[in-house]
Amino acid sequence: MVVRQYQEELKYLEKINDYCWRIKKGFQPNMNVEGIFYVNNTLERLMLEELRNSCRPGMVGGFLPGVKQIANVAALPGIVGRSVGLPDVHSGYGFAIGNMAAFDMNDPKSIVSPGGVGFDINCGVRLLRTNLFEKDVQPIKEQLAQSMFDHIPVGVGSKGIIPMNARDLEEALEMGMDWSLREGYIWAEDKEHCEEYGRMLNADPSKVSMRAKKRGLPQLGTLGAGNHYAEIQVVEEIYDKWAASKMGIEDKGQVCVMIHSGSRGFGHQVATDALVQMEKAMKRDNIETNDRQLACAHIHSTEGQDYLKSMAAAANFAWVNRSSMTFLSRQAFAKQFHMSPDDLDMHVIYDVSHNIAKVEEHIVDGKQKTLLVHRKGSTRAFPPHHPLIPVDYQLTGQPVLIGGTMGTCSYVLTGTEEGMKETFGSTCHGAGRALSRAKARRNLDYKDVLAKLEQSGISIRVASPNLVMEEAPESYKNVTDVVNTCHAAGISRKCIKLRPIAVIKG
Amino acid sequence: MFKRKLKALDYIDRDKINANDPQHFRKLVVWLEDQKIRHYKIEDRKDIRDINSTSWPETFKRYCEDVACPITTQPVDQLEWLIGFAIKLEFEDNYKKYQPITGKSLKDMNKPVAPNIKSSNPLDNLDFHSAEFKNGIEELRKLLCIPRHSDHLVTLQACSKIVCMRLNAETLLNPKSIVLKGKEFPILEAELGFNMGDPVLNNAAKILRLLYIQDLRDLQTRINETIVSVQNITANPRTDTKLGKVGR
Amino acid sequence: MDSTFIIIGGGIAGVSCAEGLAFLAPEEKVVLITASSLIKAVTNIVPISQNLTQFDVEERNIVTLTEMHPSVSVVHDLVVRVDNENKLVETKSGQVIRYKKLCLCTGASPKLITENSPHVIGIRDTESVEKFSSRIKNAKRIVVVGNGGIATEIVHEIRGVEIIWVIKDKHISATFVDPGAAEFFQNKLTQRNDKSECDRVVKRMKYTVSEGQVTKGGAALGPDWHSSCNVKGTSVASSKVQVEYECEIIGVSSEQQDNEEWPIYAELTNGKIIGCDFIVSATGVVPNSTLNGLEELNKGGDGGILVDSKLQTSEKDLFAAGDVCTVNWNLAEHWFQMRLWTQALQMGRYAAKSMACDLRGEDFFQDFCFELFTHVTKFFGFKVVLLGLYNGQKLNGSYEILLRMTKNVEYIKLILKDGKLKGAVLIGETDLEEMCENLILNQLDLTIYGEDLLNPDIDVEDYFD
Repeated sequence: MVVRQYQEELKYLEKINDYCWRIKKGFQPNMNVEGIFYVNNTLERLMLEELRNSCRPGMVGGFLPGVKQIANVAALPGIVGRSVGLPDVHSGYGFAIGNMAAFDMNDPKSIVSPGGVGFDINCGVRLLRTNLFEKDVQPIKEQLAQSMFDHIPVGVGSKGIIPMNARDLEEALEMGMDWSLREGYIWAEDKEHCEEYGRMLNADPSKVSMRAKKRGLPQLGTLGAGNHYAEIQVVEEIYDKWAASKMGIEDKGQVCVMIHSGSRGFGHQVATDALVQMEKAMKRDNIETNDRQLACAHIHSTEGQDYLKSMAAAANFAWVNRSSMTFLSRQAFAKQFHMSPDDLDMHVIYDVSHNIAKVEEHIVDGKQKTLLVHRKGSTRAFPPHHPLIPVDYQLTGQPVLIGGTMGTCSYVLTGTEEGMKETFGSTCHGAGRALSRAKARRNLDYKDVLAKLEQSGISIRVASPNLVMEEAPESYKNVTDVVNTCHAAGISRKCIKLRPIAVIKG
Repeated sequence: MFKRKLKALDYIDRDKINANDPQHFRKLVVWLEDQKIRHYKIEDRKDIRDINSTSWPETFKRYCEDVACPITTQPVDQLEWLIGFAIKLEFEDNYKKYQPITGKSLKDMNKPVAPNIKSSNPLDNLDFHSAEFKNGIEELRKLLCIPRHSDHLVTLQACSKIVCMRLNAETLLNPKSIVLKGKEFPILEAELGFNMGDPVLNNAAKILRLLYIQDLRDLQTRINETIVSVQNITANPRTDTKLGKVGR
Repeated sequence: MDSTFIIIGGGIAGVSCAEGLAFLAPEEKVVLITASSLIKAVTNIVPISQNLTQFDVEERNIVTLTEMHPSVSVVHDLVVRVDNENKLVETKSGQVIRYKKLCLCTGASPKLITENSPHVIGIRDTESVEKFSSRIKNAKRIVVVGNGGIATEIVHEIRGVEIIWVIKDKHISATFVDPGAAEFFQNKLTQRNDKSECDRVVKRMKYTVSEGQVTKGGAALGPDWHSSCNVKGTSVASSKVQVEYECEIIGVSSEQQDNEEWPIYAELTNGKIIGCDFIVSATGVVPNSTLNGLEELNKGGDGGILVDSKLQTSEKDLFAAGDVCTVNWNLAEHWFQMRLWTQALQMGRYAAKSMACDLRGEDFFQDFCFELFTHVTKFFGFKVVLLGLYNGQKLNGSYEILLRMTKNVEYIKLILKDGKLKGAVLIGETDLEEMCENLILNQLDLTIYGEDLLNPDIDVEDYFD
């Protein structure tokens, strides 16, 4: 790994315009293409601070700053265009969260990397609209949240509200939302407003390990903890009246439900299984990467294909999950308002995937190419007229749902032609975290505890903050900064802003 | 599987045939050789006729080589080729008989002889190109506010479409069912997303896009209707639905 | 009477098994036989991570179960004999009930240091809590023996009584936490008088025991058992806790010693003789595995009924779940049995699945909850999450500890072996549950992160998403 001073590192970075920086070749070894990242002033400060901190002596830990990770991805075999960092980029396992990279399917050297998809495969967001307004919901929002909470199925012992057995799981993995449709949990129209129509056709449950299935079964249709949650939101601002009206959003104050969920333990197991296989494949096929976490395999190798098939199964799992949550939300609203979900106009506006790899057609250097696009913590944002977006959004561009961190504002954006050209039709996914976090200065004092523990004879290491770190920037990259950067850079357009009025945490 | 082809060859058991059953398979091969292909001399057909022999698969393999069957993958695929081969031989043998038969001639053949009765329908006797007829269309067109097309018959088609879709008895009773709801989309103000370099061309492109999107929407709606009708059969949400009906 | 399923025992395992059956096979009849007029119900389930759930236990009248699940009927009676050959159960009142599948959820009883003293009480079931709370009202000094969860909670919750806490380990709460965490709690032990009663945040639901409804032999308690009973003694002056480390009680006597007069005296292995109003024995449990007709069942060293990975006993159609059973399958690397509410709930539900599938001849996976040990509880007002081999169990001392602690805020201990996470103790609001759980299950190599994994300046919560 190259060790350089911060000032030297900066020579490899070049500000192209107010919202965009270039990462030149040489920033990390063996870069095949350049990197690029999108930031505004605030985010730029966070990004550079993170890099500066990593350049300090003693900071050689396993956590690389996001900008270094973007450059390492640019060194992967078969990458085309640029390695793109979205404004909410922050470090993650292998690929940074908020990094997208595309690989040429027709280049035999091209790779697929589980780190480029993430562990929580097809973590994503779904937005349901209603014809209710804030005044209808505000007085009973507590009951409403509670009744949604009552419906959140409990995971332990496979005793979800939607019972599943091993055979159901196999079918769900293969069919995705078509399973939910067949069983009658959702509406036909839901499918139409879903990326990939809620089903990846190359899913192959036989490529998924038994352990993943066991791990996934009790979690199907559950919301889960961590960054999974549902929110009742109201429209705070409409920036693009016509696009909003195409989505059925007419006025400020209109109530929506946002569901945030993914494939949970199932995805984790699929990714973990693949990482193990790929480490072997890398040795066999002599694939070298800058970072061990970037384990990968040639797309057309058995390992690569097996991963893509099991990843697709995990993606289907996540869609069934979000569909089950949709079903439960509709039930909760219907119960509370004594009206059918249909009369409440509870349609799915859209459903996006944040952690996924897909085969897409793009124009690279004036030529149409078939690419494997990895999006990790990044959302597809296709422009108007793209054949893969729903007919209802042909004129507006694909809706892009941006969830803030729990309890902060969320946004709906639309895809643009500019984004198609610059970022392979990708944009941000939500609020990102900075690597450093301003936790209150902790009083870390281990003396007494260590004295007690040392008697056991077990080797003990203690965590301590790095004392040289002068300034700890705020934990989260503000979602508004993130969205405004995407809008200003033209890679997506602001359409609607939503404000949460109740949060339902699994 | 190959029912149509076997029908063409007049194979008696064509409806019962199961190519995966070795007995059926072998019988059919023997029949093909005996009746149609006749590649071996009768006295040389002993081996292939012995369909209960354990060495039959080898015999079959050799037979395939002898008739120069290019397929080596699955026996079923080879069988299909043999049937095709038999049809080809049949056709060549009866070249004269089959050649005049075309799709058109077949249709004519199957058509009941048209009764040569004078039509009582006055429309059949109209002269569609008379000035009177053209004027009538022109009047109708004005009445329905439809732009004129250089071919008056196209204009008539447009009129017919309007009348059928919007002026039928049902729609007249309930005009709202056909009038599209929702806000109109200001397509001409909206950006097209691409530029043809000429405002008139751009507008034309927009209109074409709109028509195309409308067709797509109709298609999508029909897909949804199909899904819903299938759902009516398959759906069985195994959960407590007392709280609110879900699905539609 | 005929029934498809019979469950013996109205504790957490029994009731969750009945509920599970009612859910999975609503068309089949379920009979739950309980010796108590009250049954336990798990409520307020809060999933903390994918496999970790926090819940409360409520005591309910037996009719509520039938109201909620029409296929379940509850028989308030005592089982006197089980005849698995002929598939029938006889009760004390003379009822004979036939079954196709039977599940034993008879729980366990406290191991008392001595059986025949009125001044030694065990705390295990509703009845003993009743007894305890009536006794504590007039008590000045009590001795608590045992180092598990219940002992810890008594010591933490009781006010106005002098407590002598006798533990055989070098540090408190050894069943659940390591010496380091005990040190973290030690503060709370000494500062317990400063804390005002009202600022206790009680956010979980409580159950109340109504007078006169208690029958002997009821089911075990659930979390927060102490909140409903008055746990205040008479001594206003002394509320201190004195811990006697590394010793046990060798004998009790009621003969007067010294000049103070106490109803009972405990003699400790360290030579001390302590007089007190009564002794609380919380030294563990013995499975209630003796039932007429079941003498032939295979049992483990601890007296529990051995069960296989489907919770089936050594006899067909006979299942066991909860404290009464002892697991006897090839255990997953990061799971082990502990007689806890969490596991009673998990086993009860899983037994339901297993019995329902067995009846229909369906295949099923063993529940994933047996892949990773999880438990969440509250000690000294802190949320305590235990994951995997949280005390280095099964590792024979060959592991590393990675630690982060902020006094009075959080205590995080990770157990690492060969760079992989094996277990974790998370005390306080750490937000690390889901990450730790995934890292244990995924067995990712964490060597390169070193101590940075817990660096407080680095936020790793979603790094592994």
